[in-house]
Amino acid sequence: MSNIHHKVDWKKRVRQEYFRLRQIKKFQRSDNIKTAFTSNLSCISEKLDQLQEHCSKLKAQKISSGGSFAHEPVTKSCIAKSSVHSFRDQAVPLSTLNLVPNLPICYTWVPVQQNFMVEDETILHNIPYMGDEVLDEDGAFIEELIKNYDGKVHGDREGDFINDEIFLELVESLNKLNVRRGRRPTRKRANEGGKHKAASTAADSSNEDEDLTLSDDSSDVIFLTFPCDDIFSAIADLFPDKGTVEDLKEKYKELTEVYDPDTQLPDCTPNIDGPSAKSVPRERALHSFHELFCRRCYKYDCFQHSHTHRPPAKINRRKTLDIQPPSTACGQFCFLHLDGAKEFSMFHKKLSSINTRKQQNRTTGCGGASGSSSGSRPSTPTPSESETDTNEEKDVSGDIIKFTDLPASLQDIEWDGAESTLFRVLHETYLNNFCAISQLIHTKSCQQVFAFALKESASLTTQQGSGTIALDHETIELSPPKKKRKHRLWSLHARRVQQKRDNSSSHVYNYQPCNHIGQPCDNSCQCVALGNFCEKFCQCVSDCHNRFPGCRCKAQCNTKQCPCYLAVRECDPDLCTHCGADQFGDNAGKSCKNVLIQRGMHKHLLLAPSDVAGWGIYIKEDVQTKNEFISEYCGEIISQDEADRRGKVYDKYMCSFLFNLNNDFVVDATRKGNKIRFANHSVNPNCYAKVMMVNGDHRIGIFSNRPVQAGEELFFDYRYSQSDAMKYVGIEREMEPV
Amino acid sequence: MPRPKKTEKSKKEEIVLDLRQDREEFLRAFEKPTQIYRFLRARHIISPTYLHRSLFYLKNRCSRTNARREAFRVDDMLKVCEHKNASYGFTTPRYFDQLKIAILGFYIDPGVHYANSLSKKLNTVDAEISIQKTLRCRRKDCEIVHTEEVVGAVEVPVNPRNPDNYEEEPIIISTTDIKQSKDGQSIKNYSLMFRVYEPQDDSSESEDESSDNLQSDEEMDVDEDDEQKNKKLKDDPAAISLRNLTMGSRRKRVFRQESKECESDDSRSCKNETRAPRKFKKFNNQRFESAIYDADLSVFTSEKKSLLLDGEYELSLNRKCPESNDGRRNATWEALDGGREIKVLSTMNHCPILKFKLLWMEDDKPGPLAPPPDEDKATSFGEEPDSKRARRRINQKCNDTEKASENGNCNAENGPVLPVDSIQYRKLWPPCDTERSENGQLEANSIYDPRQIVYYQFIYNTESQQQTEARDDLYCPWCQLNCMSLYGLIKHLKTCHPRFNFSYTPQSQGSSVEVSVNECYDGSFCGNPQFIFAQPGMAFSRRGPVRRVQATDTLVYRPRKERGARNLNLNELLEKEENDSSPTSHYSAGHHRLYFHSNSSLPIRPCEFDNDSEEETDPDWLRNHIKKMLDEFTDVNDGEKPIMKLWNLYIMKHRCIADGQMSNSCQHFIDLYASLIIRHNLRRNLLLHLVTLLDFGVLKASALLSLIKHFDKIAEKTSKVTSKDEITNGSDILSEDIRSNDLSMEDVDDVSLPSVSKQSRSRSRTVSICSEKSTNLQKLQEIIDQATKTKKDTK
Repeated sequence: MSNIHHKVDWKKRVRQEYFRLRQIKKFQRSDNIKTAFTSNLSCISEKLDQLQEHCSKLKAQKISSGGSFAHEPVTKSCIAKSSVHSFRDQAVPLSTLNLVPNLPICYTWVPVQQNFMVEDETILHNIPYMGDEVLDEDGAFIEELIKNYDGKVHGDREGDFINDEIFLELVESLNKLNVRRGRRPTRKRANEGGKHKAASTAADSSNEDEDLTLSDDSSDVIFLTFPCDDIFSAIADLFPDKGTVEDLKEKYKELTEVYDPDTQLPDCTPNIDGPSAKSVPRERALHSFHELFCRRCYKYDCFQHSHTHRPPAKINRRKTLDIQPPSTACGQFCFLHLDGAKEFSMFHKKLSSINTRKQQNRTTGCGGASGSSSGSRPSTPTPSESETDTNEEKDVSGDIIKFTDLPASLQDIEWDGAESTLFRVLHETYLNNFCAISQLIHTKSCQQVFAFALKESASLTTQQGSGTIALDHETIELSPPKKKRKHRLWSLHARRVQQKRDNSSSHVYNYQPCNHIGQPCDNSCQCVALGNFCEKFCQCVSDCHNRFPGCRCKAQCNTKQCPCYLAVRECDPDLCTHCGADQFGDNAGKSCKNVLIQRGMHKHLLLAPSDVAGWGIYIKEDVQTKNEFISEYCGEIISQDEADRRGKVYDKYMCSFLFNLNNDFVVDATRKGNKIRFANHSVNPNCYAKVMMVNGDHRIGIFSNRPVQAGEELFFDYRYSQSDAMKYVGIEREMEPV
Repeated sequence: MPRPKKTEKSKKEEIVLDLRQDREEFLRAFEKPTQIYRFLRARHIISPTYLHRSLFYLKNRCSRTNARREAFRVDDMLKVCEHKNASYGFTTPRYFDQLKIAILGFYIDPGVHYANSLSKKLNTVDAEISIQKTLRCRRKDCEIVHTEEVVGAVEVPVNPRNPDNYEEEPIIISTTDIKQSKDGQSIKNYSLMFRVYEPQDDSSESEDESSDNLQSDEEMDVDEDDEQKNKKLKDDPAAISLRNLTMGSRRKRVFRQESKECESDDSRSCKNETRAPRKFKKFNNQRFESAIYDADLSVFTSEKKSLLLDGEYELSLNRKCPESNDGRRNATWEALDGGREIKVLSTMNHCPILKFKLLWMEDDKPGPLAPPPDEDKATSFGEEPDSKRARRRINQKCNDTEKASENGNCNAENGPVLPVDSIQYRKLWPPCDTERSENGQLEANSIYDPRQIVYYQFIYNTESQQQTEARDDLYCPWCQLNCMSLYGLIKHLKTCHPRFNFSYTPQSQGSSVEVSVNECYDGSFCGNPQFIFAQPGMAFSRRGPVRRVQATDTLVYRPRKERGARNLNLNELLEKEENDSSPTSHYSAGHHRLYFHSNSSLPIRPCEFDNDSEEETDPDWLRNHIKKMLDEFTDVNDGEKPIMKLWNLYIMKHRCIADGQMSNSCQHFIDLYASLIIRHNLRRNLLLHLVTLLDFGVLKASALLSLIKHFDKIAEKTSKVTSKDEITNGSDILSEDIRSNDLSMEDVDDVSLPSVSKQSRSRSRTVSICSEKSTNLQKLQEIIDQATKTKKDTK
C-alpha cells in the first residue's frame, strides 16, 4: 500500500521536476539568444563605426539623392476628388520617379579564396522554401528530402522525448530530493554507486545539508550517492519509450562517467612553457603538433584536408638532418673539454659519418651547427672505418664514459620537466651535438646537456635503440646519385604519362598520400591503384618510381611540351626548378605560367547583373591570349553523396553551383565560394574549366577560351566538367543573335 | 454596267484611302523622332552644348589649321594685334551723307506654309523704303511725333536663285536733309522703314489664306472633305510634311563686313523695331491692305551716332496680318523647361527675310554724323557680350568666293565659329562643291562628288512600305548640318541620330540611304553608368552653370589600325556581311554598366573600382573560424594553441606553397611575432613547432638552429631595452615603445589579442609566482597589460 503510494508520489515528483527543468532550459535558451543577439548587435555597430571611419577617410563624393523635386519641372498634377460635394477637389503636383531596375536575387554566400572541406551533413538543416505553389504541388519532394537525412531535421523538438542532458539533470535533481529526505527510514541506499563514489558515502550524511545548498548553485561538484531505483522506475513509467529501468541505469552510468570531472583528459600534456610542465617522452611532447599539422598546407588543423588525408610525420628525412656532431669546442666550457667526451663524440661521429658519407660533398661546413666557433673542420672519415663492424664499436662505446664518471657539479644539476622534455625532443634530431641542443634549450650549458644525455642513456639504455635507428637510416638511404636518377626517370616518364591518360581518362580520383613504410610503391600502394602520382607528401622514398619528376622546361610551361602541363598538373615548386616555379618574391612569375592557381594570381573580376540571366561576372582587364588563367573556382569540398543530397535541393531551385572535382569530391560554391561562381553557362563560352592537380590537390581553374575584352561577361560551358550535373542548370539561354 | 463603274470608283477610293493610310503610317513612324531632332537642333542653336565628340569624319568643316603652330612664336600674337589695329584704322568706317541701299532679294521660307502661296505666285514683290523720323517736342505735354517719308521703291525678286546676277538699282538716301527736320526740332530717332508689298492690290488677305490652304491641300493629296482635319494637322506642330521634314527650317544671315563690334547695336535696334511693328500701323494706312511685311532699322541714335555700317544685311520682316499663326507653331518643349524665350529663334526661322546692301556713299567730305572711330570702338566693345541676338560672323570660307575675297580672311581667324553658323540657305547657295574642288583638298572623288544625289528611302510599317525622297546636297535632313561630304553625312547620320537606322548603299547615280526607325532605341544613357554617378542631376543643365562632382577621367583613344582607316572610306559604311559572327559582337564590351560589391550588392563607386575584394586571402570570418577550431580542442594545451593560431594566421596571410619557402617564412614569422612570443613566454612552444616542421621534413635542422638563434637575438634585444629602462625609470618610454610596436603589428594583434591577452593575464599571475626572475617580468607584464588596456580604450 505504502509502496504504491510511494510510487505514485515518485511519479508525480518526476513529472514536476521534469517540467521545471524544461522551463529552466527554455529560459536559458532565450537568455542565450538574447545575449547572442546583443553581442551581435554590438559587433555590427562596431563594424559600422569602422566602416564610417574608413569612409570618412576616402575622398569620395556621395551619390547625391536629389532629395527634393524642386529642380524638376512639374508637368502633371494629381487630383483627389471627394464624393462629398462640399469638399473641393484637391490637387497636388505629381512628380514621378524614374524606374530603378531590380537587382537579381542573390543569396548570401561567404567569400573564400581556397577550397574548404566540410563534412557530410547528417541532418537536414532547413526545409527549403520555394514558394507556396511548389510546396503545394510537390509535397512529395520535401518528404523525399527528409527521407534522405533519415528523417532528421535540425531543431526538431520532440514533445515527450528527453535527451541525455535533461535525463541526467532530472535524475540528479531527483536524487537530491531523495537525499534531502534521507533521514526517513524508508530510504534506500543504492550500492551500485559504490563503484563510482563509494569513498564519499560515509562523509555524505554529515555534510549533505551543506552540499545541497552548494549544489543549487554549482552543480558541477556533486558528491551524491547513486540514485535509487525508484527514480529510474518512475522515469521509466513516465517515458516508456526510453526503455526499461535497467536501460536507464546503464545510461546514467555511462553519462556520469563522461561527465566525471575528476577523470583527467589523458592526452593533454601540460604547457611546456607553463609552471606545471612535466617531463614527458618526445612523442607526447610533440603529440598535438604532430597530430594537427598538415604537411600539405603547412597549417595546424587545416580546413582543406580532413585529418585522414593528412600525411603523418616523415620518417625518412635524411635531407633535413644536416647537422653533424661538433668537432671543435663551442667555447671555454664546452662539453668537449670534459674527460672522455671527445672519444664519445668521435665514436658517434663515425657512426653518423657512415650515414652521411654520400652527402659529404653537399653539406658545407656546419659552422652554424657547431656553435660559435666558426672554423670548423670537415670531419674526415676513413673509408676503412665505414667497413668495420658497428657492433664492435658499440662495445667500445660502452666503456667510453659513464654518467657517474662526470664531475659532481654536473651530476647535481636540476633539470625541470620542460628542459628534460626539450632534450628528448631535440636529441632525436641533433643526436649528440650537445652544443646545438644547449643553444636550443637556452637555459642549460652544453656540459650540462652532455651530462643529462649520459644520465638518460644510462637510465633508459636507449643507446641500443639509437644505434639501431642509425642502422635503419643506413639501410634506407642507400640511393644512387641524384642526377642519374633524374635522367632515368625522365626517359620513363613520358611513356607513363601517356599510359595514365589512356587508362584513366574519365575517372580521376582524389590523391591521398600513401603510407606504407618499407614497401615500394607497387600495386598495393593506393597512389598506384588510383592512378595518381606519388607526391612529396607520400611516405615513399623520394626516388619512388611512381613519383612525378617535375618538368625541366626553360619556357613558360604553357604548352604541351611541358610534361607538367601535359599531365594537367601545375608545376611543383619543389620539383620543377628550371622553369622558375620555385622563384618567389620579386623575381616570381618571370617564366613559368603554370603556377598561377597555387599562387592565386587571378584576374580582377567584377560583379554586375548579367546580360543573360541573373548575376554575371565581368572581367576588368583585357585578356590577351587563349588559355590564360582567370580565376580558381573555389567552394566547399563535399563528398559525392553529399553532393547528391544537396543537388536535389539545388535542382529544385534551378540554380546550382556544384562542380565535379574528381570521383570522390565535388566543389559546391553555394555557401562558400568566390566571385567566379557567378559565371553563367553558355554553349559558346569564352572560358573553360580545367581540373588541375596542384601540389597534391585537385583544383578547378577557369581559363580563357579566346582573347577576352575588358568588361566582357565570362561564360563557361558547365557541361564540360559536369557531365551529368548538367541537369542542375535550369536556365540555358541561347546567346546567338536572333 | 454599273458594276464595273462602281468597282472602279471604289478602287479609286481604295487607292486614295490606301494613300492616306500610307501617309499616316509614314507620319506615325517618323514624326516623333524627326520632331525631336528638329527640336534638339533648334535648342542647340540657342544654347549650344559642347560634348566630347570625335568629329573626325567632318574634318572638312574644321576651319582652323594647325599649320601656323610650328612656326609660332610669342611675338606673333603681338604682331597679329598690331596688324589688326592697323587694319582697323584703315578700314574704319566712314560715314558720309549719302546712304546707298541696294535690296538684293526677298526670301520667304517655303517651309512656312502661309508663305508657300506667295513664293509660288510671285516672282517679284515691291519693296518700299521710307524714312521715319521721331521728333522730340520741345513742349513737355506734346507727344512724340513721327514723320515718315517715302524715299524710294523697287521691285525685288522673291527667292532669287542667283542674287549676284540680279542688278538692282540702289536707292540713295542723302542724310544731309535728314540732319535737320523742317521745324528745326531735334530728331530723337531716325530709322528706315522697309515695307514689302504684293504687286496685285486686289488679292486680299483672306483669299490668300484660302488659296494657301488649297494649295497645300492639293499638295497633300487630301480630299476636300478632310480639309478640316487637314487644317488641324497643319496647325499641329506634330504634322510635318515631307518637304518640311527634309528641308528643315531656315535661318537668316547677316553679313557684316566689319568686325562684330557694331552688330550688337544693329541687332538691338532690329529687335526693338521688329517687336513693335504695329505701332506704325496707323501711319502707313494708305496702302495698308497690300503691305504684307514690314520692318524698320534705326539709322541714328539720339546721340547722332550712326548705327549702321557698310555691309550686307538680312532683315526679318514681320507679317502685318493681325492674326499670327506663328505663335502656335513656335510652341516648343523648351517652354516646359522654365519657359525660356525662344521667339528670337522663331522669328529668324519663320519670318521672311529682306536682304539688302548698305553703303555709305563716297562724297567729298565725310559725313558730319559719322562718329569718331575711337568712340565707336570703345562703346561697342562694352556692349558686345550681351548681344543675345547678335548673329556671329559667318564663316565665309565655305561658299562665297566673292564675299570671302571682300571680307578678307580675318573672320576665319578670330572668334569662334559655330557649326550652326555655316549652315547655308540651301536654295540660295548652290552646293559648295565647286569651290571645294578648286581647293584641291579632295581625297577621294567618290566622297566629294559635286552632283551627289542622296535618295532617302524611308522604310516603315515593318519594312513593307517605303517612301523615297531625293536630295541633291549633303545636308543632314534633320539638323541641317552641312556635312560637306557623303562620308561625313552618312557617318553623321549614323552617329548622331540613333533614333533611326541608316544603311547606305551606293547607286549608279548618287547613293541611297535607307532610313528606318530604330525600335531598339530606348533613350537610355548608353555610356558608362559611373558617369551618371559622377555627375548627378543637372550635368547638362541649360540654365547656367551647375556645380559638378569632381571626377577625373582619362580619355584615351587608341584607334585600331584598320586598313584604310586613314582615308575615310565609304566602304566602311556599307552594310557588312555577317561573316564575322563572333558571338561577342552581340554583347557590348567595355565597362558600360554599374558593378556591385560581391558581398554587399552595393554599387561600386568609381573610387573603389580598383580594389579587388578577392585580394584578401584571410577574411575575418576565416581567421575567427581558425581560432575557434583550435580552441575547440580540449587536449591541446594553452601554450600550444596560441602558437598554432599565430602560425596558422601567418600562413594564411602570407601564403606559403613550397617546402623551399619554409625557412624564409619562419624567419619572417619570427620577425613579426618574436616580441609577442616573448611577451607571452612561448619560446619552447615555438621550438616545438619548429621541430614539428623539421619532423615533417619541410625544414632543415641547420635552419632551425639559425632561426632559434635569430629569435634569441631579438629576445635579448628586447630584454636589454626593458632592463635599461628599468634602471632609468623611464617606464613611460617603455610603454610607448611597446604600444608603437603593437601598432606596427596591428594586423597581428587584431587577431590574436582577444584570445592571447586573456591567457597572458592568467599566466602573468602564475609566472610571478613560479619564477624568481620575476621583478623584471612582472613589471613588463603590467606595462603590457596597461598598454593593451589603453589600446582597447582608444579602440
